[in-house]
Amino acid sequence: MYSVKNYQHRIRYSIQMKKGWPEPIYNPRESNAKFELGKKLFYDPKLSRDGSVSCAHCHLSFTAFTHVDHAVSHGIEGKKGTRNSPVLINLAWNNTFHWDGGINHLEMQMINPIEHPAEMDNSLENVITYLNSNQVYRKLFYDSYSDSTVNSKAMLQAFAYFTSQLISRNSKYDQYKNKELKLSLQEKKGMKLFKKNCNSCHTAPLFNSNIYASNGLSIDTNYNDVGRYAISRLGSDSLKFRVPTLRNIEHSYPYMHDGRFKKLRDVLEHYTNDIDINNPYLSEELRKKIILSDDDKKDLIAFLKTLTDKEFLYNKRFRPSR
Amino acid sequence: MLGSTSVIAQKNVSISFDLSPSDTTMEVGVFKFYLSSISLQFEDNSVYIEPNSYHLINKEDSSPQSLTLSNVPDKAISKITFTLGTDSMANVSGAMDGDLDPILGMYWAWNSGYINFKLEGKKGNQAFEFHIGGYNGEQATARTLSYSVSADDTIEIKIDPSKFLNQIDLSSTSSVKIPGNEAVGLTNYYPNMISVE
Ligand code: HEC
Ligand code: HEC
Repeated sequence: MYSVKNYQHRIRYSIQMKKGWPEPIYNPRESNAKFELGKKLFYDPKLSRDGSVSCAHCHLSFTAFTHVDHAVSHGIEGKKGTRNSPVLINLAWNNTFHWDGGINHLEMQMINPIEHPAEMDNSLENVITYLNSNQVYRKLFYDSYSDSTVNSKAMLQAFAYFTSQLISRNSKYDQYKNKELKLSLQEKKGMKLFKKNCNSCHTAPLFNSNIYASNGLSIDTNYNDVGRYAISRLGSDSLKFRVPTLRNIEHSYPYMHDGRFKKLRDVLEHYTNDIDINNPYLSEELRKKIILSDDDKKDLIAFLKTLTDKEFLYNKRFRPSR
Repeated sequence: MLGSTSVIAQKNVSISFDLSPSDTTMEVGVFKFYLSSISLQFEDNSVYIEPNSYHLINKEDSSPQSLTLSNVPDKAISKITFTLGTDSMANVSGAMDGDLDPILGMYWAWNSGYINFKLEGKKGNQAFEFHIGGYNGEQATARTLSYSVSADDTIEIKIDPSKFLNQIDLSSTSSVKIPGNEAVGLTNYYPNMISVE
């Protein structure tokens, strides 16, 4: 759908509006060429220092673009990072990125994995030199920008284009919202519990929020990750993290910034029994104990599974082109 | 052309930089900074504002450090105003090219934003590293400065890194590389190191 203004100018944006959804923050003009270029970059291990690690190494399409089973990410030469690789879902609606929100624009995120010594350990300069020396890339850049000379701006925008198109909004929950199907009684009970206890932070329809909160995790003594404080330097931000989306959460284990929980059951155990109430910056809504019976927990998990979007997870368009 | 506006002749104005330290016990390894939002005021009080005004000045550059303002009205200049650092627009608008290309080593990846001012080196045996940046609210480090000049088409800006350094007690502060209070505090030392002719 077009807004009137856009229609007049005949500009087609890459992300179309959907009822009940806010407008995306990042919405480039539609360009199949940029999508294909961004995808090629995303799957290219040659962007790393030793040619071994692509973005997809840590962000796999079948698992909502995260790295399952690894609590913290593993990059070049198996080096461990300090944080769990997040899902890449509906990034176009986020105003900040990373667990601590340190990144203020989708286009600027990609410098991090390229340069991070435990991820791809390369330099922007090397990557740009490589792209300029490769005829296939030069042609793809020409197709996207009418210029075959690659600079970092063009590359970063191509990455951002591809990742902004990783949109999940056709889960069972969405189909229920569109009145295409009904939820089971159990799922509905779970939805009620979710609305009562979780939706204030993991807010539908994105099931995240662009705020930082402490959800009561104790500090992980391996990494001593202080979260948002590292960026804002405000004491009141210690141990706060960005509220992540719960879309496709069934498939994106392990959970939390340090991947400390393997199962959704462990997550609910945390929210009901293990909240660290000594943390002065714990969110108010979690100070009051959440009480869930065993059945409640099963219901809530059944609801969380309605956020799984098979069309998204198995979308061939997101897989490498041959 | 119709109308009554008379055509004003235009000129180029060249701004050159002298970045050498006056204190010879100071060894400068890296000295790079952004100069942005340059404007000139003329004797008739009218103003020229350079469009898209972002310049990375690097002591290491082999060519003499200078920049040229073009299409400046041909009038006597009485004042120059510039920002040492980058405005928040440059910091929040995504990927940039030209002097703002993040490839130039003046960008923090993990905490999005430009390093406005970078000075690294040694004084005696004491190494120092100052990477000053931050654009947001109380972390903002861009400083706008104005100088009276009496110039026609050349202006020289002298930025003496030793006059910056001499204001800092290196035994307690020799490395600042993140946005925050310390970085903001260091920008108070800018005015003393700059003179304009
Ligand atoms: C070694 C594993 C690894 C590789 C390789 C990697 N990432 Fe990531 N990615 C991570 C981790 C870990 C984070 C979270 C970082 C943080 O919060 O500090 C992340 C965060 C992100 C985010 C932000 C998501 C959000 O919701 O905040 C995006 C976007 C992203 N990566 C895209 C990419 C792209 C594009 C590439 C390739 C250029 C890439 N990643 C390569 C591990 C990796
Ligand atoms: C006060 C806000 C808040 C409330 C209320 C809240 N959460 Fe969270 N949730 C967070 C934050 C913040 C994180 C990230 C914490 C971290 O990694 O340090 C998180 C993380 C999670 C994760 C892990 C996501 C991932 O990708 O690793 C799950 C699952 C989750 N919450 C489920 C729930 C459920 C279920 C409820 C209701 C019982 C709930 N949350 C209530 C703030 C909240």
